[in-house]
Formats: sequence, C-alpha cells, structure tokens
Amino acid sequence: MEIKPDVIVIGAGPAGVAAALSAKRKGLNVVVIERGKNFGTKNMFGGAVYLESLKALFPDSWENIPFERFNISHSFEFLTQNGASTAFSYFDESHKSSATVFRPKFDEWLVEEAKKEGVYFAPSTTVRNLIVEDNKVVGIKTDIEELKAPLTIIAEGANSLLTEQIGLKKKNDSKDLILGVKEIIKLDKNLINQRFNLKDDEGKVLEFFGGLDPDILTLGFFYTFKNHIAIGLGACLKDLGDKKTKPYELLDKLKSHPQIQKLIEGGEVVEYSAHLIPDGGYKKLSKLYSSGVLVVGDAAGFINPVHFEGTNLAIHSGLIAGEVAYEAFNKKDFSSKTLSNYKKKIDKSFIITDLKSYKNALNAVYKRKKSVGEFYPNIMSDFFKKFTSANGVPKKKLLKEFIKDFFFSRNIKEIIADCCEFAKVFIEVIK
Amino acid sequence: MNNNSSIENKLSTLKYYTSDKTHLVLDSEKCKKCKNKECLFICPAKVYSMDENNENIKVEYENCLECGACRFACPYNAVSWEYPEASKGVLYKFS
Repeated sequence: MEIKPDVIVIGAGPAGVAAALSAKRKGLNVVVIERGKNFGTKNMFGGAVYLESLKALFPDSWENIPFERFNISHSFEFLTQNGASTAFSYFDESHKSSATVFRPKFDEWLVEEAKKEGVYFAPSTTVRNLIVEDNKVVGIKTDIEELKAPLTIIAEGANSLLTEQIGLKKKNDSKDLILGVKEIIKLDKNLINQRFNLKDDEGKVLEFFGGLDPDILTLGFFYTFKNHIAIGLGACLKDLGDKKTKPYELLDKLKSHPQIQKLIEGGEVVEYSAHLIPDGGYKKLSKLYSSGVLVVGDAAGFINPVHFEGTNLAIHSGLIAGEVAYEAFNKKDFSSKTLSNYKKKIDKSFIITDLKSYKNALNAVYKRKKSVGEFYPNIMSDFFKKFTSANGVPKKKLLKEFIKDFFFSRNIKEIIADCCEFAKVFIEVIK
Repeated sequence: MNNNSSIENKLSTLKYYTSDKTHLVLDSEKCKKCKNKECLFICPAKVYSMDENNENIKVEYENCLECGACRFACPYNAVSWEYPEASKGVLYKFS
C-alpha cells in the first residue's frame, strides 16, 4: 500500500464510511480497511435504516440510495401459542422516516459515494492487530503488512476483537448480547402489496413479543423489501445457552406460528443469516478513545434497542469522530486528552442522551421477560377472546372473570414487580 | 415452503469462499471440563457438534457466519476466534 494516510478507518460499514467521509471532507487523507471482498457482504441487520442520518451524511444524494421500501406501517404484536393480538399499530402514508435496504447494495452505495469524494478503500484486507507504541495506537497490522497513521478509527462492529485487544472494552457478557437470525424470503411484489395492504414502494414493519419461550428474551421482526420479505428474531445469547436452545429452531418455531405462516406463505427462502447486537446500553459502552484511536458504531456499543436504532447512531458517531480527527490534526496532537473531545461531543449528542434515558430499559424487560413473553400476551388474547365471543354468558360475568384472572391468575407480587420495573424506566425516560 | 427446514437447508442458501485452514480453535482441555457446552446450542450455523465417540467437540468452521456468538457465550474462554483469512468465509447477497 503506497499511501501515507492521516486516518485509518477499520471497517466499511455505515460507521466507518461516515467517519471516513467526515474526515475527508475536512481535507484529511483517509483509508478504510474492509475484510470483505465486496462491501456489505459480511454485514447483516434487521432490515431498515432511519433516513434522517442518511440525509445528514448525504444531503444532496441520499435519494439515490438503493432503498427497497419506505416503511409507512408499523405494528407490535403479542403472540400466544396459537393466537396473536396487536398491541398497537400505526399507519400513515406520509410518514416515511425509515426504509428497508439490503446491506451488500446499501453498503456498496455508501462506499462508492465516499470514493467519489476521495476516500481510499482497501477491501479483502483483515486487520489482525493494532500497533501500539508507548501506549499510543500508531497503526494497524493486516495479514500481509503494517500501515501507520497518527489516528485510527475502529468501526469493526459488534464482534469487537480490536477494541478488546487494546483494553478499551471488556469482552461483552453474553447477557448483554442479542443474537439475531433471519431469513430473506422471495415473494412476488404484487403479492406483498396485496397481502400487506401496501402500494408501490411502501413498506410494513412488524415486531413480535411472545409465543416462543418465556425464559428466552426474544423479539421477532418482519420487514418488506421490493420482491422479498424478511422474518427473523433477536434472542438473548445467555438465555439461549442457559435453555440449550438453537436460535434457528426458535426461528422455525416463529415461522410455524399460525399468524406468521400466513405472512410468509408461498415464498422461497433465499438467504439465512446471523449477527450479534450489543444491547448492553449506556452502562456497557466501550471506552470511546485513547491515544491515537477512536471507537465508533457497534464496536462502541451504540445501539438503542427500544427504538431499533443502530445504523443512525453509527453514522452520527462516525460524523463526530471525523470532526475530532480534524481538530486533532490542526493541533497536531493525537493524545488521549485532545481525543477526549470525541467523548465530550458524543455525550452532548442525542446518542448518549437517549442511551442514558434507556439505561435500565432492557434490563427491566430482561427481568420481567416472562411477563412480556407470556403473561401479557396470554391475558390480552384472553381479553379479546372474551370480547369477541357470543356464547350466552352475560358480558358482566365475562368481564368479572377477566379481571379476576388478571389479578389472581398469578401471584399479585408479579404485577407489582412489573409495575415497579416499568414505572422506573418510564420515569427515567421522561425526567 | 418447508417451514421446519433443517439448519443444513438454511446453510445451503449461503455462499462461502472456504479457507483451507480453520479460524476457530477450541482448547479441548477446557471443553472437557465444560458441562453445559453452550456452543453446541447457541451457534446459528451449527459449527459445533460432538464427534462420533461423543468425546470431543467437532468444529465445522466452514459453516461459520462470523458472528462471534461462540466467543462470547463460552464460559471458559475456550474459543480462540479470529476472522477467516482475508476475503474468505461467508458472503451475504441480501442481508
């Protein structure tokens, strides 16, 4: 590699590309190292990106992004063994804040745009080590060579080997990781539109709680693409191990639920995939900087599981990292002290404000997973079953039965515990 | 569509550039002590299974999806995990 970069970025996902562009636009020479042969082919996510961050990164060209569908319909459903009740559902054709994409196409587009602006990319290159001299990161070691630069930005993703290697992060506890598995299913475009009440490039997002194993914290998801749909789930890695459950068997169970079967019927599975999501939240973020190095995106732990945010946080953290890289260059100072500005800026941004608000949210859901995954889906289903029956039993009697079941079908302490946990989270979010 | 397709069917939808050498190595001494053997269950690509004699864990690294779950789930830190050699391993077309 006959280049002398100012900044090395490790990983050509959204965080890496955003960091590279942000630094390049300030005039720095940037090289992005990517282990995949083709961009985006090692990457996987549920299916949708928020548009706001893409508009921030590409104000003039974001509309050319190879979007699949713009999501205008969102539903959250509680599943029981055989039934389903909708917790809430939202539809507005004018509200297009997110869109589905396929990562190989999407990531490739980001990279091509960045190349136009002069960012240099090195695909098929795996970084094995960071070079540390006098407690400073001064470059990288790939399979074949060393490359040095005053600043390295780590955008390596959830499986954060390098971030751990230099002591910026302890290996995640398996409780703080969600393992995502999904299938892409080919389905005719007209059939998708008909089945999900969509037109043209409108998309539908579904989230599912319950119906699987109440001991395993799981969230199911469904996305639509032009000629494909995705069905998948994220399950707590620790729970999978504790319950000796295979993630793909859980996915098959979800797919065979009568409600889900109808959604995916008639399609052909064209790809299976898996990826980790760092869901530890605010308390489990990595250290964000050290001498000569910054950490962005999933590697830092920037995920908001409550609102399914990840790529947007990745992009925003990348943009900020690029700005700080420029400041450091102006000062010719890449010390930990100067780079601590990155943390200061991240702390002030919506990234940390949100992650702080939700710092106990996932833990609360984890603690009360049986309630979310079993009790409430069942009680909702029970309510709707009674509400939609005409069986000669007076309604007053049915309602009394329902109330009795709600309070006394399990220990009353459980309800109090649910209320306390979720009230605490609610107060933290609004305070 | 077969809704209960086996993991073999799922993996058959994927494209791999297989490396000649493994990027996943187990510390078999630690594995022998491990009771739960989480890796046998949590791996989304069924990379880990017991060998014919039910003694050692067999590692089919060729199927690895490079998610890293085994590295985090192993309570004994027995998985030495590296990325496959450059440009090798799984290649997603959609995801």
